[in-house]
Amino acid sequence: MRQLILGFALAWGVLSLLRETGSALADLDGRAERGGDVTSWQLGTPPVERLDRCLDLVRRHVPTDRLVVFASSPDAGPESEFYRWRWAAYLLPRHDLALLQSPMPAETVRRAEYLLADERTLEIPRLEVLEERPGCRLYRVKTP
Amino acid sequence: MTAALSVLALASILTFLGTRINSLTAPGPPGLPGDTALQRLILGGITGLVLFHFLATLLDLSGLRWSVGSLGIGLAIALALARRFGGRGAEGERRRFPSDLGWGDETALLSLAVFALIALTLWATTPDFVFHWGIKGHRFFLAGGVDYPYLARSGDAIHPDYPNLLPELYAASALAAGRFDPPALMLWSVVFFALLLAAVREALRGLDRWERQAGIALAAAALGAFAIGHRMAGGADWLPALALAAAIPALSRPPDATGDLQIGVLAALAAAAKVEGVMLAGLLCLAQLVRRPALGATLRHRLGIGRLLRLGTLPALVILPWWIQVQKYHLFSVMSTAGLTAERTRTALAAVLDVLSFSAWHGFSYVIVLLPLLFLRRSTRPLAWVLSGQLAFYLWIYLVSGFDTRLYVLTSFPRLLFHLVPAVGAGAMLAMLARRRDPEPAG
Repeated sequence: MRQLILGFALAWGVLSLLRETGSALADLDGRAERGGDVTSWQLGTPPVERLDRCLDLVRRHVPTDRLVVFASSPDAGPESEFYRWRWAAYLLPRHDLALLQSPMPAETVRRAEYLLADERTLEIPRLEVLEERPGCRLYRVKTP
Repeated sequence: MTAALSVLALASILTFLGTRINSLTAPGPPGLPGDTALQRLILGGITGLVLFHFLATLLDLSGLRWSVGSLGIGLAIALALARRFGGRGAEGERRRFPSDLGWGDETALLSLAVFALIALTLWATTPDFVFHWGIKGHRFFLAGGVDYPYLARSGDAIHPDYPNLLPELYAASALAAGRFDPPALMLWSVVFFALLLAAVREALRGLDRWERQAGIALAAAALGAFAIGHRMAGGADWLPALALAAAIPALSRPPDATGDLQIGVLAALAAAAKVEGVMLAGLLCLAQLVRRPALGATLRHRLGIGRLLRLGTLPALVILPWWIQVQKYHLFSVMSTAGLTAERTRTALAAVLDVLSFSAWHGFSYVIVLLPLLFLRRSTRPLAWVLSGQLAFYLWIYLVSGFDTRLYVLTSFPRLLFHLVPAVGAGAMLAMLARRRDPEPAG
């Protein structure tokens, strides 16, 4: 009886492993078409690669260790903005990244020299466009 | 390729260093087998990780930048000290690696290989690698040490208060390779999975051959499925699971000097890995300390200074520097707390039940309901107390947290269960199936 129960559990375990492996491999095959919500982003998928290309603007123009304010489309809600910011921070480890929010912390306002807008247009007089790409724009914050 | 070799080389060096400390392994009482060569390898690997964390912390505290040179010299000194003061081992046992490999071991290797291949594609990478473990590792690599000012600036988003063993390993591997290479860093999870499966194998030594092989295969398949389905590569949850599974042999026998040292190392590993590991470290040490030692039953023997030093020194050397830095840089995350209410309790328990049915667990999370069985047998009772304490700690946090309780449970409890399931499963098999009589406590 003990062996029967163990055998059944083991068979179920092996089936589970095969199912997860098959599912992971199928998803991996479809990686190039994968998009969707930021909470389901994974490394190597098109949305992450698109964001990485956007961050090239920062790599090109902004000296390391400078604070960059990151803004993304607010349409998908504050959670989406938060996660996009965290992905951007991971992809840009040489810079400090602050999330655009209202109100901004005084220390961030004091230190911020650049702003990156991803899939978002900002019309703020203090911002001067440094470079833009489709869906992505890097601004310099003008000193008042 | 260089980056992958760097990870494997560092893991091998740390294991070699840890296995030089012979006083960590038990020769075994007359007539009973001691720790096997595989158990020495597991404990050696874990000890190597803990010693590496000490070295990284020491360099940080002394203001020396991490580099291949500074870490290499530090490891060389540690190796020399281990050879000089590591104690004498049982020479005859040293080369006896398992010769009883069976179909369960082959299934385990297959599961490990499947996980490794998927992990290398980054498709099993946990989101937490992006949100804190990976970004910390990359920053530490660039800064040549734990970048406390960065942690302090970053706020709660990256869990700045967490212990740093895993990012330290990532940073050191990146330093050795010359670049931060996420796919190669996933190999650390493969190493941890291998150690975890080996620890389960050692824990099941008291079973008949077929049952033991079935237990190893079952653990490998169930944990492998969850690790792929729930994307566990790149995270630190392997380490508390490893500490618990590797503690089973020491917790199952009457306490002795070697067991105290082993539990001390495992507690140090847990504390260096995650915040909840600090609690686990306390529970492991407590479970070992309150038991009647193999030699001497008096309170003096039970709470002797020697025992306290063997058990507490390594965890204290992990926890104290961490605590000091967390206080110095004000890193503690704001833990939103609220009172215990009936509504929150209902919400949390309903969410816990939902997590038990979580698809990536394929029902194996229900092994947790077997926990009471571990209290039935003397040898598994200390493990049962530790596991119950850790589970109660997780549940208590959910019950008093002021966050969205349901979301909090659903997003974290599947991973926290991963700490407990391997040890509960192995302990339940021992409690129900082990034929050998429990050793009677001496004295």
